[in-house]
Formats: sequence, structure tokens, C-alpha cells
Amino acid sequence: MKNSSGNLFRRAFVVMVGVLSVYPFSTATAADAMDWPHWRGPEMNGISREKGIVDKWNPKGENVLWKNDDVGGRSTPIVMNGKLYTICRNQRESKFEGEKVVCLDIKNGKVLWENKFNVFLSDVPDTRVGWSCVTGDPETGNVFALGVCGLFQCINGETGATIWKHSLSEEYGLLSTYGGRTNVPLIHGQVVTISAVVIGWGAMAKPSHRFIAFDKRNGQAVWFEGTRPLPYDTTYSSPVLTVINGQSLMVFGSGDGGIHAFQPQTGRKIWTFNVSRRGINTTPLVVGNSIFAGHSEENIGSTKMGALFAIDGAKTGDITKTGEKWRIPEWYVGKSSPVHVDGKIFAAEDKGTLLIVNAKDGKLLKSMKLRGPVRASPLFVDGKVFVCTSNGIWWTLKPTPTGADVLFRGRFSGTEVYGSPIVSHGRLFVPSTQALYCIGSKDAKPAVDKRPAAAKEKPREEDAVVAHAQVVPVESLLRPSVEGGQGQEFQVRLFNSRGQFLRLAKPDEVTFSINGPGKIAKGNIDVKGKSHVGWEYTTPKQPVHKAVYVTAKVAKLEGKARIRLVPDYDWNFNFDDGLVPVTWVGCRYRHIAVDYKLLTKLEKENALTAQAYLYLMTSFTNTNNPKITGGLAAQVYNDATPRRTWSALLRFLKLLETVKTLDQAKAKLDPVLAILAREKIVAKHAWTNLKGGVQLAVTRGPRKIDGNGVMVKIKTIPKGARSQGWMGHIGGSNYTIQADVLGARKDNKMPDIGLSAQRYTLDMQGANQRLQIRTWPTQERMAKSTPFKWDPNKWYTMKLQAQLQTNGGKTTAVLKGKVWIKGEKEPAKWQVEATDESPNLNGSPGVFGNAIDAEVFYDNLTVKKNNKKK
Amino acid sequence: MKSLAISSTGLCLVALLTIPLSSAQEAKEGAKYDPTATALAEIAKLKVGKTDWPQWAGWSGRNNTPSGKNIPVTWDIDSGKNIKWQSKLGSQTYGNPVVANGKVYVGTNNGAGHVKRYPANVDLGCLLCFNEADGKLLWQHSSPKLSTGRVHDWPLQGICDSPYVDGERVWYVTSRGEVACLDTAGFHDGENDGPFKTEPNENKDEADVIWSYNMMGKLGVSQHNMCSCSVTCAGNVLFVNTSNGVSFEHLNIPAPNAPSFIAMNRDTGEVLWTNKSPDLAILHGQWSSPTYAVLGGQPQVIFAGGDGWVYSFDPKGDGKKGAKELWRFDANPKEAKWILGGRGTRNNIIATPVVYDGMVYAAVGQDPEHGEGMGHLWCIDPKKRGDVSPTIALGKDSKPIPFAKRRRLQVVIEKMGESVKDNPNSAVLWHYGQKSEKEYNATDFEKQMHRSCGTVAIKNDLLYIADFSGLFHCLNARTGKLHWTYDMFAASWASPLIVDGKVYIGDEDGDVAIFPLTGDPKKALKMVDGELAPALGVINMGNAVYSTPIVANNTLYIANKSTLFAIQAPAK
Repeated sequence: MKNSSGNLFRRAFVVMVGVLSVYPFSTATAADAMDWPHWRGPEMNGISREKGIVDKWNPKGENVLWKNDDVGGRSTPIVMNGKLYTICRNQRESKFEGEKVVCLDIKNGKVLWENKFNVFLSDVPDTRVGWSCVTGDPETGNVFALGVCGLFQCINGETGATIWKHSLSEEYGLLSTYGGRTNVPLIHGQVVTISAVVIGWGAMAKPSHRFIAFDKRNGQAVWFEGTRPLPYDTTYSSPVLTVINGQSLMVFGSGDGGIHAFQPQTGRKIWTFNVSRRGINTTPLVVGNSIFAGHSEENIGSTKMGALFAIDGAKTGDITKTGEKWRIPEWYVGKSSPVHVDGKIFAAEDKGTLLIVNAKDGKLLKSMKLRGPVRASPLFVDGKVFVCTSNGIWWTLKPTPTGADVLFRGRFSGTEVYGSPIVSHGRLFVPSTQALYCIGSKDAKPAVDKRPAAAKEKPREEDAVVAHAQVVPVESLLRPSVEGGQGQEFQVRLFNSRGQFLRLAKPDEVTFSINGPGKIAKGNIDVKGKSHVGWEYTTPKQPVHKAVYVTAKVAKLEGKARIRLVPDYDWNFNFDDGLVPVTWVGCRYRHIAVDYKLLTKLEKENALTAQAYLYLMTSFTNTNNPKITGGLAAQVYNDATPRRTWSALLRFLKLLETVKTLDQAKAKLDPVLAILAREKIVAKHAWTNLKGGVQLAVTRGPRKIDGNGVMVKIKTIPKGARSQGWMGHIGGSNYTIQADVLGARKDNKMPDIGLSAQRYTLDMQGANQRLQIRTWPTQERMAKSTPFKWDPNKWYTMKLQAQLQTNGGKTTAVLKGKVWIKGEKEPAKWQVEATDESPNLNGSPGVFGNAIDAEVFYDNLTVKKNNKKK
Repeated sequence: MKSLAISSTGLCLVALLTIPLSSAQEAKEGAKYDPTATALAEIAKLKVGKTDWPQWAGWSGRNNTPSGKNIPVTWDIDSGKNIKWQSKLGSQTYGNPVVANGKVYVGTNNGAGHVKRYPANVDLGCLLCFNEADGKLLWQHSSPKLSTGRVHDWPLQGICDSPYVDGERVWYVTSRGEVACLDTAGFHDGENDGPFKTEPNENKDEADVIWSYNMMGKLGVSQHNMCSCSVTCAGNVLFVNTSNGVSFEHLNIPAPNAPSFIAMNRDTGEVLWTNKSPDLAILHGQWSSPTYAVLGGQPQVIFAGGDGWVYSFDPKGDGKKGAKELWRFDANPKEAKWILGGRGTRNNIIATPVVYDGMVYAAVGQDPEHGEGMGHLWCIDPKKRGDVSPTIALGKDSKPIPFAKRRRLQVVIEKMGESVKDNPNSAVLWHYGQKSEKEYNATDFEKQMHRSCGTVAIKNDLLYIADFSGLFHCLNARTGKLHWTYDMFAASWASPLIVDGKVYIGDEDGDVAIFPLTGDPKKALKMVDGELAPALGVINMGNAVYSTPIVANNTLYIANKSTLFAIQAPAK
């Protein structure tokens, strides 16, 4: 054994995975035939096989068995093992407000347990908290839940105790927005997947809708894959499982406007169907090999919005052109997921028309006005379709050969309905924003028909050829340390072409290599006193912030994983190496490093040149082409493509209205480029008179940062000029973050500059000229603000201290902030202090910046443990 | 007094800004009031055709009651029956058509990709100018999306407002937060009119900009999600709501010092006066359009704020670049609370105030994205001055809560010992809707007044308004008494058109419902398949009609999301 860890409890051991326990999972093994363990039901299609469900009910009494006013919300509940699970707001409109996963006894609606947690560093407004749905795992009895701010938990279904959790924002870069759209966990075999728009680290710094699959037993990431970069939207289409051609698939609508199918065990893309310019929110419906879904946004290449469509899920690759069975545009099925009944699709449009459509060809059989917008998805049970509008009109419909008859229509008032009705054990459960209702007849004797046989995976024995090597864990965050550092065991899981797990690779058949510091080697590994042979990565002893790229070779296959090395505090970043630290989540791409000394010099000489320096450095840094970054190829600006990079450059330089011709461009910019060439920022530039206008090609010069490197949050990044980023381990508490900061001013507007510690932000606000400490920007439950006049283009030093205090068994977080002019003596007094009685006990250091209006600069960022004496 | 003519060079330095001191509507007050005649009299003073409809709701009183004869009640977009022409718009259209001097203008997005340099996959705000005779595109003014994203400029939403046209100039607010003055002729006149002369090209299908004023840059405005205001004019003075709104987290006003309401010299783009009354109480965005009228002998420009107040100002300003307020009116109950979603009872105002026979009408509502909820419709006497709200908010100390200190999300919180009393200076002539949330929840849906972004239309003392819950209400405009409601079973963002003895209203299902102009429910509605239906029928337009139908020169114009239809019965 290598003595790679001087501190055993810090070791991130891999839980050794026994081969047999990684067998694929089948939904048919669900413990109870009347359970509803996923929001779309046991078959993930909105269908229940139960019988004897009531047609009618009235929120004021008729057939209401119980109602619980505390767990109302927008989530669709689930039922497993006689318990209902949902996620909702906790302690509404109070200084303790947060989110909770709740377990109720389905017999009486009584709360069995609550798992409460804070909403932190999220723009989600309080009324949108509890957006996702809980997913149950019948195999283990555990439940999985994603909070609106990205806290993803595996919870013991019996006790409510957290088994493992990840803060997906801080660790992976999950984007949590004002819109609140949050995804739903999906379990397949030993993995649980969750997704979001992720703005991560390294190559994942560009936003994309990405899925992370965790080993459901220990929360280790096993695969991490995305869809097309720079999607317009966050979305809440949740993936559903199916088996097509003997292969398991997870099918989902994405923020990139496509419907995609991945192998659930490997994350390998099987097909992609691009349909909309905007994100897809409906959850696909699978019937045999057909996938039905809808959207209510722009169809690609058409001015017609909205569609209901059917895809051939048996095809592979990019099936945008080949996979469409039918598509009916201008049906705005964008929020509610359809159901399939006897060859007919029941799909509700956002605006409230129910479409009853022939599944084969999309032919409309009947349309009915539901008299209100629809967000919930219809449920089919006991020969009836239940659907409810968001303004509370309830419909019980009886499908007929030509459409449907209305059996019952009822109305809620004073509430909204976003979650969908479900059925379990003879009862309907209906969520509304004000209450959760249990509906049924007291005397009902629950009964259920057998489910139709689901398509089965082909036996894995039929294909024992290894086609995919999965390196586990695919993402790790480790602590290098002079005291010995940390070890991480790596494992390679082997799959066949259908994504079926075959076996673990034997240590002898794998060759690991790394790009980055530390070392990886095969040897004896001790876990809890037991020794086995395996591959282990050992961190270096230097306290570096670095990335390590791991490659495992098994025969001709390669698998990859990434490690972030982040040491313990204290930290000091001065950006003099010209780089935004690679390990920072959500920071590269949105920030670049520039030479502030040079910028100041340029500003004095010619303000336009300083702005050109910022713009060109952004182009050189953020290009996808390393030759441009390295000065081996030119960055080209022209209006030949829809991106119109020449106009964008002129707009940034405020020259759009004055520079029109090549001569004007040369007159304005040649002197600027000459100065930048003198400073060796630009190697050369060339002008071309294109038919469509001017083209400028600029090659980067050799100069690195040789003055004062600083990090700048640039204002030209679409969908990210206001954002936050995180620097490392989330377990830290009782520390202080400090940085020198400067805000520019453009069009008389100033930016907001923030630092965060332990999930609290100190924000130096430009427009409002104040300092604010907060944890949840849209629900200022513990926020404190104080007026603070500050000037643009002046360096300040900003400091935020987070400290937990325990008095009489009660723990609070005490946050203190101050800002002073850089170079002046630090004032003794804190300017703004806040106490949180519902404290965040830990969290990663981070940065917040709003550069929508003007750039934000950071320098000399430090993180230090608080002095024990405090 | 007639406004000064604009020179064709556009470089008209007007020293004297003229505001008409009397108007036809004032003269008609008291007599049997005809809004159509009032509108036509105002339009006659502009350099446009007599039966053109040259701004949102046609004229500065904003009552959509044009003149028209033989306006069809039947047409068919599939067979082409009574469709004079149709022109392709983008994928989302919210701007209402405007017709002047042989041209039709409509705001949309770039889904149609009309101009070469911007293919359809480039997201833009587009103001399109079509030939009135045949619907051919003449030119397009393009606004690339702001790089700051949806907080300022929502993806694919295009231009959501309507322009104002007089003579050879068209004024409108772009999605980039600019007020733009364009040449109606574009480059078809072979000239690049200025002062602005650095258009990217002088292609015939692109716009000739006369001047452009960047409210974001010059006034520091931070619009929320979209900059949208259908400007109006009195003489040479142009009135604009800047759209200043909340920031990302919807709690702060990122530009607290930026004005909400401005008056500009329409010839030069010079800002004459500004006002920021909604201030830190702005609830979300500000997307209402101003109204101008002479009321009680006093010229008034009326703005509805994002704080849910209606404000009236002297169009001349205070002479020191500031505004001279005449009155202000709180359209929300003081106890109403702003809660995101359907349960919130506090609203802002998206509709345009309407003037009818010396009275002012406005309904409250919200961004439709927030869902349905409780609303109010008010009839206000504009002759009073000062705070003319229905009630006064009292603090714990029983003293009035100063206007500047009103709490943004809820002015009066009873639990905190605050209270409300009637305002002796109230200008309420009548209120339609429920007084409290409790009363609202206890009222039948069909009799509730819901949130609305619709502007009223009134004629023969019959007031019509659609709400976001899909109810179409017909009231007595003088008393507020309900004549009837009709449930469209689909949300409506649109406003009614009254013309030729008929009433037209569009909805999100793309249905245009047509009623005879009557308060008698037996005549307005008929039974079809056991359900009440509009007596003159319902015509589906293929996709959502978010815009408002208008009539100009005896042609009916209706834009659905993606197509502009000119509808006309063949000459008899």
C-alpha cells in the first residue's frame, strides 16, 4: 500500500463495486404494483393500471379523504411503499424559509418526516421553490430529490436521513435561474441521473444542458455528458426510460431544443432529433418504438411555433431529417406531457386546448377547450383521463372511439395547479399550490391489473464484446497537501455496445495515465482494513490549484476522467500567470485574465485602445481554436456570418454608428492596432474589403502578462454577464474571503461585485450604491444592506467573513463585510453584518459579478481560515 | 394649433414646441359623444390620410373606434375569402398594425428573414413596413438582440409596440431601448435623410434612420425583458414610457435614477422633460403606452406606471426639464400584495389608458407569464388634482404614508398596524371588479374581473375589455354596470376593435370573436351547440392573435403570430 494519505478520514475511497450488483435494473421489479415511484408513474407514461377510481370530487368535501395545506406546491408527488413523497416550500415567507422533501402517510396525510434544507445562491423566487419531483428507488427504498438551488440528495425513504448529497451548483456549475425550471432524477440500475444547464470548469465552462450520472449507492459521478452548447433555455423535460431494439435508452427533451436518447448506463448518445430553436419542457412519451413529445416555441426554420410530433426511436444518429414520423405545427404542446390511450394521443396545449389525436398519423380526432392554461400532465386510469388546468378546472373524461365524453367537470378556486394528479392504492393525489389532496372513496378496495409486458433488453450474454470503458469517478475534487495529500482509487467499468455492464476491468488489463500533477499507479489499496489490487491516483504534495486529466486504456478503448486539485486554505490568487484558475467552476469563458498595468497605460494613451485590448483578449482567450489563442492563426471579424463579429466589435468600441467603410475602419483602428502591436499584444492585422463589408483579421502577439495580472468579468458574454463561480471544496466553514476589486463604468452604469463564503454573498452594488450580505437574492430572508458610495475605476479591497456560532445548542452563521479603498488602512469596523438563524453550515468560496453594464476586475483574491479567537 | 411641418431633410431645428391647446374631443365634451368623430378630427390635423389609423389605437385618446364601412364578418384564411392580401411576419407578433399614407407598419421578430444580411435564424426585433395596396414589403428596421440577454431583451420576442406616423416620419421604440425616428419612404426616395446617415447600407429593403436616441445609454434606463411603448404625440412633442424595470432578481431597480416617462422633441430627439415617479416601487417592467388628451381644458399626457399608478402630467413640463404632475391615481387596493404567480393581488398596468368623453379608463394586469389573477378596471375623473386615488394609506401612527415611502410589494400591512381610509379627493367615477381577495374568490368566475393587459374600447357608452382569463366584458361606460360577459375559453392579450356597428376581439387560440355593438346579451350572444357564442360568429386565424384588430381605409387588419392579413369584402 502506498502511504498516500496521512489523514485517513479525508480519503475519498471508492466503494468497491461487486460485479453482480451492477446488473441492469428492470422496472418490472418494482416492489408494489400500486406504487407510483416516478412522477409519470411506474411505466413513465402517465398510465395507472388500477381500478375503482372515483370520477368526481370537490375540494370542499366530496371524496376528499384528506388534505394537507402545508405541502402544497408545484411538484408532482410520488408514492412508494405506502408513503407519499414530495418537495415543497418550507416555512413560507419567514426568515427560515427554505425547501423540504416531505414524506406523508398516504392513509391520513400525516407527515412522517421532513428533510429540510436551505435555498442558497439561487435566483429562484420563493413561489417557484419545490419545482422538481422526488424519484423513488423501489430497489433500495431510497428517494432522490433535487432542490431548486441544485442540492441533490439521496434520502432514506423510511427515515428521511440524507445518505449522500451533492451541491450541484458549487461542485459542477448547475445554473439555477429566476425561472426556476428544475429537472427530475431518473434511476436506472445502479445509476441515478440528474441534469441542468451546467457552466462548469475547464472544457465545460461554456454553458450546455448536461446530465450527470451518479452511482446511486455512494454518489460518485460515473458519467457526465451534454447536449449542444449555449442553449437558449433551462428546461424541465424529465428523461424517461425505455427499451428499443433491445437497448435501454433514456429519452429527454433538452434546453438545446432537441429530443435526445442516451444510454442510461454510459451516457452515450444514440440519437438526436433537433426540433425547436428554444428549450423543450415536455417529458417525452414512449409507446413501442415511437416517441411523442411537443413544444410551444419556434420550430427550426419556420415561423410556425409549437408542435406535437412523433419520432421513430429505433433510428440512430442525428435523426432530425430521418426520424420524424409526423409533426403538426401550431399545436402548442409545450408544458404538459401527453398520454396514449387505445391508439390515441391526449395532449394538452399550454393555452388549454386538449387535442385527441390518432397516434399513427397525428390526425386530429377531437379538440376540447379546457377553459384554462395547462401545465399539469393528463393521467389515464380506470378507463378515464383526468386533466386539470392551472386555474383549477378539473376534467374527468371518458375516451370514446372518436374522442372523449365529459364525465365530470369541477373547479378549484384560490389556487393554481402545476403538478399532475397521480394514482396509488386506489386513491388520486392532486397537488395544488395551496394544498395536496387525497381523493377517493372510503370503502374502495384497491385493485390493479397486470401491467403489459415491457420490452426487454437483449441478454447481455449475446454481446459480450467490450465497447465502452467508463472511468469511475469521472469527476473528483481532491486536496493536495504537504502533509501527504489524498488518494483516489479509479476503476474502469466495461460495457457492451448496447450500454450493458459487462464487468470491471482487471487492474492488469488497464493502463492509466495522467496529464497533470500527482501520480497514478497500480498497487495494493487498503480500504477499511481490507486490501485489494487497484489503481490509485495520489495528489502531489504542493498545495496547487490544478486540473488532472486521467486516461485509462483497455485494449483499444479509452476512458477519461477529470480531477480538480484544490488544497486547504489559505489561498492566494493574483492572476499574474495570465489565467483564470482552471479549477474554478463557472469562471473561465465568463472571465479572462488581462494585464491591468498595460490596460491603465493604454487608457491614458488612448481610451479606445484600452477597450480594444479587452475585446481582443476576450476573443483570443475564448475562441475554440487553440491556434488563435497561441498566435498561430488570426481571429477574424466580419459580417459574413449571422454572428456578425465585425459589427459586434464595432458596437463594443462604440464605433458602429461612425465606421461604415474600410477607409473609416482603417482611419479609426489602424492607430489602435499599431499601439497594440507596439505592446506585442497584436502580432499583425490585415484588412479585407469583403462584398458584405469590412473584414479584420488580427493575430495575437507574443506578450504574456508581465505587469499586473487581474481577472476581468467581461460584459460581452451572452447569457452569463451576471453569474457566480466557485473555487473548490464545499465543506469549508469559518473562513474569510478577500479581494481587490474594481468596477468600470459604461453609459453611466456600474456593475455589481461580489464575493461569497459559506453560501453567503457580500455584494458591492453599483446602481444601488450599497453593500449587501445575502444568501438567497430573491428572498432576502437574512439579507442586510447598508448604503455605500463607491466610485468606478477605483480599486477597493473587499472582505467577507463567515463564522458559525453556537449558543445554547443553537447554531447561527454570522457574516461580516467591509470594503475600503485599496492601499488605505483596513478599517477596524465591519460595515455590514448579518446573522442567519437558519445557517448554511458550509460552502465553497466563490465570486459573484454582474457585468451586464460594465466590467468587473478582481485581483489578489485570498481565502483564509478565521482566526480561532475570532 | 397645427404642428409644424417636418422638412424632408429631417434637419428641422424646431425652437418652438407646439402642443395643441384645444382639441375636437374637448369641444365635443358634454354633447352626444362620438369617439370616432373625435379620432377623425385629430387625424385630420396630421399629414396622413383622413381614414388612416396612424398610431396604436389610432389617435392620442387611444380608443380603438375607427370609421369603416362594409367591414367583413366573414373571411377565411384557407380559401382566401375576403382576404385582400397577406404578408409574412416573424414567428411572434405582438405589435399592432398601424396604417398611414399608403403604408402598413407592424412590429415582429425576424422569423421571416426579409432582409438579406439577416437570415431568419438571426434573432432581431423588426419593424416592417408594407405597401398598403398589396402587402409587399417596402423596408425593415432591424434591432439586433442586446448582448445582455433576456433581462433586457427576451429571445425571439421582436418588436412589441406600434409606431406613430405623421407625414414622412415614423417614430417608435426599439427592442434595444431606443426611440427611433425613421423616414417613411425608407431609401425608396433615393435619399439618405439625416442627421443620422451612417446606416450600414442604403438597400431599398432597409430603414432610413433620421435620428435614434438610446434611452439605455443616455438616460441610464434598464428595461426589464423588453423595451416596449407605443409612442404618441401632441404637436411636436413625443411621449415615451422608457420601460425602466427591475433587475435579474426582480427585487431591485438597477437604474433607480433613470426616468420612466419622458417627453421629446420629435424632430430632433432632444429630451424635453423626464419623470421617474414609479421609482423604487416598480413591480416588474413598464410596458404601458401614453395617452394624450385635453381634459377639463388642460392638456394632459397620461402614463400608466409599473407601480400600478396612473399619472397625468402637463405636456409642457415644469420648464426646468422636469415634469409637472397634474394628478396620480393608485389602481391597486393599498392592501394588495405582489406575489409572483396567480395568487398575487397587486398588479402593474400594461394596458393603455383610454379617454372617452372627458373620462379616463384603465385596467390593471401583469406579464401574462405570471398567470391569471385578480384584476380591476377603473373609470377616473381627470379634472381632479393631486393624489386622486380611491383610498389613502395610513401608517402605524395613523398618518398618511408618504407617496415616496410607499412599500413596493404591499403598501398597507394590517398586521403592522397600518390601515386604509377613503380618499376625500378620490377621482373614482366607478370601479369594476372585486374589492378584496376574499370577495374575488367568492364571486363566480364569469363575474370576476381578472388581470388584463387589454385596453378598453368604448362607443355608444358601451365599454369592452378582454381579460387574461379569457372573459370578454361589456359594461356601461358611464356607470360601470355589467351588461354581459362572454367566456372565450382562451386567454386574451388583445384589445377590442369597435367599427361599423361591430366589435372584434382576438384570443390566444387564434379565434376572433365578432359581436354586434350592443349591451343586450340576447342580441350580442347566441346559442350554438348548447354554449353561448358571439352573435356574429367566431373566425379562427390559424394561430394566436395577440395583437388588436384595426381598420383603416375600410380594410380590416389582423395580425396573428406569423402573418398580417388585410381583410376586405369585394366592392359591391
